[in-house]
Amino acid sequence: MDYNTFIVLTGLLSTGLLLGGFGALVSLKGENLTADVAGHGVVSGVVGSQGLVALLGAPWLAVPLLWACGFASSALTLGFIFWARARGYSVGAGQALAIAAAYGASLVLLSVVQGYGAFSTKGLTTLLLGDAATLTLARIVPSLLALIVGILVFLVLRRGLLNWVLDPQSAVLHGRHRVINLIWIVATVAVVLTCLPALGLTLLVGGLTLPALIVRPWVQGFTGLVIGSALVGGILSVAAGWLSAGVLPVPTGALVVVGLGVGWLTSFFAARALRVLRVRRAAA
Amino acid sequence: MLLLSQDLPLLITLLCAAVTSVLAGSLLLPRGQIMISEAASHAVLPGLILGFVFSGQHGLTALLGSALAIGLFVGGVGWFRTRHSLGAGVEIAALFPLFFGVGILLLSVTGLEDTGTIDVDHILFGSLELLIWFEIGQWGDILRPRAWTSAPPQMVTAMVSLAVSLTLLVLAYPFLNRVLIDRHHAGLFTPVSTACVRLLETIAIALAAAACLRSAGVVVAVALFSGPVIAAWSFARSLWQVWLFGTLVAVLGVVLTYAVSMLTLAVFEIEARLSGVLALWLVVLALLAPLVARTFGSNRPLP
Repeated sequence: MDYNTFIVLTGLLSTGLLLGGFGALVSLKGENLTADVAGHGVVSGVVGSQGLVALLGAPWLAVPLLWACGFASSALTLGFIFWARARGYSVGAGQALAIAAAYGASLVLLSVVQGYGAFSTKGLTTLLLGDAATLTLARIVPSLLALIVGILVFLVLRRGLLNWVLDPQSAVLHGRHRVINLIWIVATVAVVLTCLPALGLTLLVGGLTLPALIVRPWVQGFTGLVIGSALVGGILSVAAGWLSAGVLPVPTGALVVVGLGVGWLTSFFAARALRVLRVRRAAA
Repeated sequence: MLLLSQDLPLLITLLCAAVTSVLAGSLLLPRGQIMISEAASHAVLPGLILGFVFSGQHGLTALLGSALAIGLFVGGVGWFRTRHSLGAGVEIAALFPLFFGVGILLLSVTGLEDTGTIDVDHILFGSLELLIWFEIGQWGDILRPRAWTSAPPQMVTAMVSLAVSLTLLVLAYPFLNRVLIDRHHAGLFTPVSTACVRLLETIAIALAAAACLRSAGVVVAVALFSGPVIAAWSFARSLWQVWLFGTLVAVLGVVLTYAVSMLTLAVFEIEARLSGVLALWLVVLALLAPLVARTFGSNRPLP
């Protein structure tokens, strides 16, 4: 295996593990679409940061500005959703307006930034669809760091996370819901930003959702679901990346998500078939 | 000053796509399923590509393929909704990236991306600025049948989508209006008639998604589906009023978009992407509508 393939597969492994584990929490809370919207909120920040770099003429600021602007725009988008909910809009209406505003702002900013030649529509397409084949060590380090932090946070706060996910009222009673909500916002944005280069925004929500759905029929308990989901996400991402590198010359991100989708449908129907068999055996 | 050969097809396409989306969005919002519009506009991709592969053009077959893909997606969402023990909206979040991923793979496998016949950039961000209707030089040309033979296919798709969608929904109006007010009302009808209405809804969503895909782009579809309907919600008391107010908001949004884009071009020499400006205006109008409604004494709950 050459160095480039090794880096791409390592990036896909960390992305898959991170998205799978975090996705299990998000899926249990039913906030997958909110995470998707938050992800799309990143785009305007990324486009804006490219414009700022061109305006300031300081290429060395590209990475810090990308993170700062991406974080700010995504947090604003999430803030908009929570504001809309607090005002009385339904969950769906808040998400729809937030994603519309995020897309609109991104495209308008793109028009402005294109004037400086700092960013192109192709760049935006890459953000939306990802480009795992061009992953470098510098681009996978954030996801590796986020994975390590995520594992540590999960080990330390496992009980608190369980309560927050499955019984939000207990977090409210303990007076910790604001802190945990803030952690959730920061974690969502961090996961989205770190996993963006591999899968892209449009496919990222698949990486968040599908591993948990694959594992759900086969495990019992919170810890099993999170760990199982992370492992399935990681393994299937690497498998799809390996296939894409050697056997099937197709876009890696799309192959990862379609592979996860096939895994989900197989798991779903296998679980149903097993249940039917058990019932028949019990009846006999 | 309007340049008819460029501005007229753009306005017609955008307005037809917007009103088709209002019709579909009015069915989704009361059920709390408006995010299906965002998902469906992505899920349409494999159907569009397969339709193009079979027919070799962006015509009726591509539209039919889009409708079938959306039908499969909406049907799948409904089926999986009751069959998993995870949170709300998980089935949408699972299915739409899967459909979109299949679409991207199909683009790559068929080689269409390399030929430029289907451009991912245009699918995502729209291609409104590229619409040109060469045969139209003055208003009178619209009445010449020959001019319509060279009408931009995106515009024709949007117009056909609007006509079909409006006809179907007007035919099913009494049932739809009652069901949206009282969800249990559907239980009073036979399963066959309920299934027929569900089919009509799916077709309406598919047509709107296809119209958006070929004009404003996938990414702005959610704004067209949700913004006008959310704004109309503050004023309307029945389904036809949602359609009427939603259409008025969409028209206002398109007019404001046009005005702003011409202004930015004249003052800053920046050609702002029309689909992006439109999305922002629709969000602003959706947020302003409840405030305006309150000043007129309306106290409708927010959608």
